[in-house]
Amino acid sequence: MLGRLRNISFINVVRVCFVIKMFVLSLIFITYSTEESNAGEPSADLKTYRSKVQPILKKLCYDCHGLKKAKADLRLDQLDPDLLRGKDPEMWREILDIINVEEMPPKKATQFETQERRTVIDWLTLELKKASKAINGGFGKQTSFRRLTKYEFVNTLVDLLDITLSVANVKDDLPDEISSPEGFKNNSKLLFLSPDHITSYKEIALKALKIAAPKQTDMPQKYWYSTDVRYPDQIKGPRFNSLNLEKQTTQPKLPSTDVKGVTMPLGTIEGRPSSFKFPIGRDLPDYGKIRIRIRASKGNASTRPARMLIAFENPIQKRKHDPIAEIDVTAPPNNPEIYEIEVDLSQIGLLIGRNVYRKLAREESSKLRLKSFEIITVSNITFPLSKQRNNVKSKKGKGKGKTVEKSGGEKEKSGNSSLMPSLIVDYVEVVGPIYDQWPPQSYKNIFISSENKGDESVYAKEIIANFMSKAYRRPVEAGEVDKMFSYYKEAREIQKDFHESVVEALSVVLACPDFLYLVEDKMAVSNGNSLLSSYELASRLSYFLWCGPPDEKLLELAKTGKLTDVSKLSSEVDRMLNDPKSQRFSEQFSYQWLGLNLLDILCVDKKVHGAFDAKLESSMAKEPVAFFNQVLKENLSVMNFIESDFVMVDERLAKHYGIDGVVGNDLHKVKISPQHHRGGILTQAAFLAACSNGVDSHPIKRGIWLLERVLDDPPPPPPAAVSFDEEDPSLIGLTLKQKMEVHRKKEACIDCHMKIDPWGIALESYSAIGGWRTRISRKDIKSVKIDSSVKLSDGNQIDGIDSLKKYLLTEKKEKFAKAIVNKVCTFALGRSLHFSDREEIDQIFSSFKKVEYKLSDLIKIVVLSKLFRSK
Amino acid sequence: MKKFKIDRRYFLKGVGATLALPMLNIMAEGNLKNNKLSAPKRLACFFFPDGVSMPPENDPAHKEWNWFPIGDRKNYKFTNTLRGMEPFKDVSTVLSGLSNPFGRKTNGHNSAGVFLTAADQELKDSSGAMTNTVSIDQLFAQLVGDQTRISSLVMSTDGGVGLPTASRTMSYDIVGRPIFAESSPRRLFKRLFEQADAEEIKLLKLKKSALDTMLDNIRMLQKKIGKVDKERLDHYLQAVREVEKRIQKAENWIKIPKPTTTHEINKDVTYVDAKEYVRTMYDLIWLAFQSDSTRVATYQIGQENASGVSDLLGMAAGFRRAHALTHQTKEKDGWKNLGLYNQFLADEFANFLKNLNASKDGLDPLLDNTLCYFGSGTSKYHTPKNFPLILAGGKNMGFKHGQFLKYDENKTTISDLYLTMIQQLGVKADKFGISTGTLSELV
Repeated sequence: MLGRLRNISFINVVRVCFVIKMFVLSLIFITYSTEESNAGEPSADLKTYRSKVQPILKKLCYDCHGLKKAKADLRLDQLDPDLLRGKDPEMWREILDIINVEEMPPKKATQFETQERRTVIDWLTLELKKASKAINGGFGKQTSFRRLTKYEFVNTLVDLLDITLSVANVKDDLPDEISSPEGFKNNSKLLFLSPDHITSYKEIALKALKIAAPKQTDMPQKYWYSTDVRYPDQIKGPRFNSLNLEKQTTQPKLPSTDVKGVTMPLGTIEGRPSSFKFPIGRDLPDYGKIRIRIRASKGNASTRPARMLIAFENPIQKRKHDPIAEIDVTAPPNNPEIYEIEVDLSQIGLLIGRNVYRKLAREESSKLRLKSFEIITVSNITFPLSKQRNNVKSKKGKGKGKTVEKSGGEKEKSGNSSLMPSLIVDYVEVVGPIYDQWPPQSYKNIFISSENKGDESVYAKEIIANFMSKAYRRPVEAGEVDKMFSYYKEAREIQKDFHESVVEALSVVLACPDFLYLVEDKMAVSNGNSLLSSYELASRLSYFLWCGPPDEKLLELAKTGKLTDVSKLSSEVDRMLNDPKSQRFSEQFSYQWLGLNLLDILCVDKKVHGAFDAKLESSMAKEPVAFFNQVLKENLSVMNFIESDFVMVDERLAKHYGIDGVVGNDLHKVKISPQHHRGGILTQAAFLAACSNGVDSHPIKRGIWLLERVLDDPPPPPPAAVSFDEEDPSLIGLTLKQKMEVHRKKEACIDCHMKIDPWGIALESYSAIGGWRTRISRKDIKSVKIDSSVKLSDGNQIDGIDSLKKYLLTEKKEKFAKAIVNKVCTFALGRSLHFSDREEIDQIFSSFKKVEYKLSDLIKIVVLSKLFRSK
Repeated sequence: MKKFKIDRRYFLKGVGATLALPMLNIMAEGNLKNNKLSAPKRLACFFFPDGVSMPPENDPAHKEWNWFPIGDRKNYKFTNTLRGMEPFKDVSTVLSGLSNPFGRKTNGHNSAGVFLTAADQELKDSSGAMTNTVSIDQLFAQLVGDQTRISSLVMSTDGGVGLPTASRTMSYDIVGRPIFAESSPRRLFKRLFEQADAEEIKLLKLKKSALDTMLDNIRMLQKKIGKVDKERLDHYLQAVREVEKRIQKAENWIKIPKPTTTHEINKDVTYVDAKEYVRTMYDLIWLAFQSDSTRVATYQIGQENASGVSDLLGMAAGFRRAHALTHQTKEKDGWKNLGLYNQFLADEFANFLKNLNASKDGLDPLLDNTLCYFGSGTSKYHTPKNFPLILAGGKNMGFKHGQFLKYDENKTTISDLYLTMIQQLGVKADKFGISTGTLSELV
């Protein structure tokens, strides 16, 4: 963290808007220093600092962290020694840590004498304690009061309105959140708001409300679209013939099974061959559910199920598919079965968009007619079994035709495909929009049943009051309802009907800060008791473990006050972690903690890495989340993140890792042995690839990642105006490790890179896409053996992944456990940790240690801590 | 800023916005002599992704399909690629060698977001998050935005904001936040030319009430929350106030009838009809300037790296996907094919200039009071160097044209061009980004 906090002084380029932006950001910092302290509170002991502490620092530290040099961008001479009112207590806390663990002064420099060390540590400890106390008594530290993030906003609409919606649906309407230095998007002080947000919130809310509560009279016409493909001879190639499409308003009869349908060989996800297209008409609305029914069977006697991929295709962008679902087909040949899924139309074509022609071509004669159909594709993606063992030898296959490497499903030359099932499809039916009842339940949740339905005004008020308390996640007062009701009345005068006016008013509820923010009532704090109210606790809990709003059960417990009861709270954590919604936590937390958004912008050079395909890409992105989820669900020790005897892989990923015997497209737990060189997060392809440049590994990126994410010890940012030209002629022909040694010799770089590089070098046995390798070849050098031996900055020598893991588990075990505690707490609170949280964090850590670092125990410890339950 | 005989801004503030339109016309007519100095200044910026055709000199295609003209500063010939610019050779300048030094090391797939800001693509704020700085159009809009119904038009084929590394908007506000880009001709047309009916006026009132209701909620909240929280809630408050101002402005203008246009616009055209769509977007900017509905417009013609629907604009030149053309230059007719697509883009820009030139602003062509900027953030094989750029129009702002300027990337950067542009537009600034001075050849 050292240095990150000081970024402000760091950016050297003057930019037109820079000052303004910094002004906005610094407002937050200013608030620290302007907090007034109550009379009679202890004041900073500056006398001791000036007379005793400063002279020591001057003697031992100012040479590198003073006027002459400011290593790590730190100038001790400029830090404010007033920890109570100054702006630097956080820096002082870090300095204390560093002196405590004897990281500074550096080994080669003059050391503190025992008494000097004592003096500095004692003064700092005492001052920090005082400052921490003063701040906890007031409102000094960063608070958790914040608006919802984009994904929380969407989840909240989903849970509150009982609709299907995803972040992708609003990707153009709301900008992405920025990540805090700790990696999290829910950091209260970074969640800024622009005027466009306000308009977007209101518009998205209105749209969502209209989906949830359509006008009763707007019942959509339901159509069945069916395609009989039992006569494949009549279909030219793997294409649809729109003449086969039947559209009707009643359910069609199933065709008989006496004639075989089309047989699909093995296919690929990204390639186009062997996916069959079926039109689904052009009348399907933007929202609402459809049901897809496919009659299928296996085409041979294989014992494996055939994996059927159903995807959506946009005729304008044919090359890209949006997967809808994967289904395992087990029906034997000649005995086909119906397989069906329900999909929400809003989730179709999220990546590629719906067919724009479908609304344009109304007339049958229009030449756009054929183009206007929407299409689903069906393909057989059963993954071919791999015979190869250590298969990551991508270069060998060059120029010699297809290799097993390239297969995302391509047929293998050496063929054991007789074991692989083919897939037969003979009938496809799509019906939509479907609904269990009309008006849908989501409508009834808003337009509640009431005996006052006859009286428009009274009824409107009831609806609004009911909705507001759900939306605000707490009981609402009459005054609040009145304000919203008067808005409704205004709308009612202007708008055509009752329904529209009510929906309009409710959309304003969803644009109000009471909905958009996680509010804590500070005025309700009495005499040092700063615990959250039961409703506030319900929200904090649900936005932590569900990334969404509390459900009825939680709100009920809040109402009766039982939630604040420790044993009840504990059992609620169990319930919440068992709820499918906790998947959101696994996803968001692991993605943000591990910075996996880097994968989105990764651009792998497929000429170098022929093995890299879309299937691998998607599987590798899923692995960290699945792994985290597994550790959580089994309540395993977090040390599994460093080293585990299992991985979460599917067939494709297993192949990438050289693990035999894994079958199927779903990630699942697979035991591994040492020769696989896997286990833990450090060997996951997602991280290794995200921290590469798409061509080769990038040890510096990997090193920084490890420091930031695993050890919670981020290096300071590089100094300005230092560049390292990788194309410098003097570097040509050097191995990466040698290059980095040259780099490290630069005086401006050495201090930090001694701390960064070794971690990355130890991971050199993994390629840019996370494959295992023992040799490396590049354009400018001949194939050389990987050298992953390196000396760490603390003098320990390690060699490669195994000894790196061993080192972390012995030397850095507590540091890693503490890092996890910090990360979980930061995410749970939605704010950066403060030095005054230290005592609480330490307590959480010692409880965590007692339960042998088990993950779901940690979640419970955090939730039950005073830190979590306090405002 | 040059001294005006009549300071239009001051004037406008004095009499209030309701009188703005009619008075502006009178003023323009009445001060014909001063026209050149006091005429409103306008800025239109266009960006296309993934660079241009640049066959090597020893390739026969060089003479025909090199994007940059052949020749020197004064004596230069357009190839087929820029042939559409021929009628405007004297009122335009082609610039080469300029680029954004921050971007030179990157792969050229994320230059759109910083095209008009000249910022570091990897710029992070104090929290380590990707950020950006203000774009030149928004800097100019700060100056003139309150004089017209619409402060600035922000448009792109793909719409929205995209990601910091895959921007779908070229415009970034004063603190570097992306501004949402509009992609629908229908919605643009509505904003510009469709008269507000009684319903819309009522709805505007309702929108104001909605904001009031939100403010009520803020007031109630403020009583509960702590001091630090209040400052955070202020972001919301400020945002609501800003929206309020927008509505207030809309209300002031709603009483003034919107201008009308006789030009036919196909409001439902989409990127599927690539050529017509691009033409329509250009036309809307031209009509917006002509009717003085706004003085600032940006249009990002495509998103980089084939990641948006805009990639299908390749269809306008008879191909399928535009980005792929940049990677197929080594195939037969590869340079030519990319050149043909570049030609389509330049033709449409030239058509825009033609329309501006045919419209009058006082006695002068509208083009003389409009600075038009057209280019890409990458060049050959989309490397982020040597941007292909054209500056056109703006004669009355002092721009000297009819040149082919070649700059040394180690001495001059795109920031210097931007400083020159904003200064001539009247923005008081002596620095933009990492600028070290202005381009004296241009003014």
